[in-house]
Amino acid sequence: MNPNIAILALIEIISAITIGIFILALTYKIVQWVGRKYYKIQDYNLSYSIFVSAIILSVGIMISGIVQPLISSFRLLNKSADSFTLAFEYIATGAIYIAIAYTATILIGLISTFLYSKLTPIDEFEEIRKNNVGVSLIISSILITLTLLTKDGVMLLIEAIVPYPELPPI
Amino acid sequence: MKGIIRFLFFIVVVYTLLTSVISLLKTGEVDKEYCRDGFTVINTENDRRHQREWESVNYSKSFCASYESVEKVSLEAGKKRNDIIYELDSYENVWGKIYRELVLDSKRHIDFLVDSLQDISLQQQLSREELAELVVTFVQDIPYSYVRVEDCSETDNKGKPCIGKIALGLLSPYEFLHSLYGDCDTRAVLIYTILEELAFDPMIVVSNEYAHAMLALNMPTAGDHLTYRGKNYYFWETTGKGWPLGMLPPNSNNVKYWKVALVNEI
Repeated sequence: MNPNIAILALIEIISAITIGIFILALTYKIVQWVGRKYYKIQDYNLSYSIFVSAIILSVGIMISGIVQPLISSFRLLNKSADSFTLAFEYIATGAIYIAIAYTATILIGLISTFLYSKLTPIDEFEEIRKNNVGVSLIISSILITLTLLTKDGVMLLIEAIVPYPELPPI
Repeated sequence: MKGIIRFLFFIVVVYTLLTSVISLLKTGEVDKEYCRDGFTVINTENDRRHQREWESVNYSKSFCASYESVEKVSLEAGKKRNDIIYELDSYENVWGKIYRELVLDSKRHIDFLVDSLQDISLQQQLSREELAELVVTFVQDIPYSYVRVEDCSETDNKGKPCIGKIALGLLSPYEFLHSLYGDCDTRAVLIYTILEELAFDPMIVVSNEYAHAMLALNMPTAGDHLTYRGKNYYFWETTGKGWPLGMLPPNSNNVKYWKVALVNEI
């Protein structure tokens, strides 16, 4: 067994699990809070559950893309700094990448919902509150599709801030 | 309040866990080996004594090597390079044949360097992965220069050193070691020759789209790679310092644009 690769794999697994738990729990809490406070939506509402699942899936899709740039950053940050500094730098870098990807997902969610509500004569959130599964499925599909379409762009944005070494103008 | 405490506890646990795992990677203080980087001309024939000092990718190890190069051998290698005949074929095949000729012709000339690098590896008790890194970082440390077919005065060299009027626009491994002028494929050919001598499984990849050449190596790691005959060859950028195995630069990271030019088929 190659110990360096095993350690790198461990770091990747720890990062993925930590980011996953943190982000998904945070998203679920926010969406639940917004639904209860502003739309008076109950927990047993199937339509709202579908919509929440789509939001969580979109966040997951977007956030999954930051693991590789984060590992690249770790390999590049792994210079002469001690373990404590390196762990701190790694977490700080991860936080920046997460912030970018998370902001992008929120923007996409807001834009897709807004666009759809402008294109149709009905009030989507009112329909979701009334447990209209059809409307919920369509909004969820729009949200996931837009996330898939924009993921590469957001990842490119994150790649731009990875501290790659300098290269000569080839 | 409870939520904040739980969140802080979560961060502390992750930080501690990461620090412990990372500390396994760290091997202690950097053992620096100082020697003067450069070369001196030792006789009227323009033969040179070189001394190189370089560090591993993560700067945890420092190496020092010295070697002598003979002007006459370099000129002969250049003459043979000029005589290489190639037929019209695909981009990667044309370059593959040229690289193969250079590799075959150079092996006997660079034995001294292979032995020297192997000695360093034995002295510092390096693993196979570290030996490969020793070879690549030795070349990465040599500053990049343009090797051009046309005259350097006619081209924009962006402040980099340039050697012009060179057939094929690349130097043979011995010429590179002697002159220390090397562009992307000149470097890739030298590293390929050394790694093949050390029984590694290297590959040279070229990209017409990126106008670039690079080394790839079949070795267990993670990152950007190309699969060839069931084996994963990880990219290794050689034109700049600090590039680890398996990491493509962001401006040339589309794997589809990279083609296999030379690989050891045996």
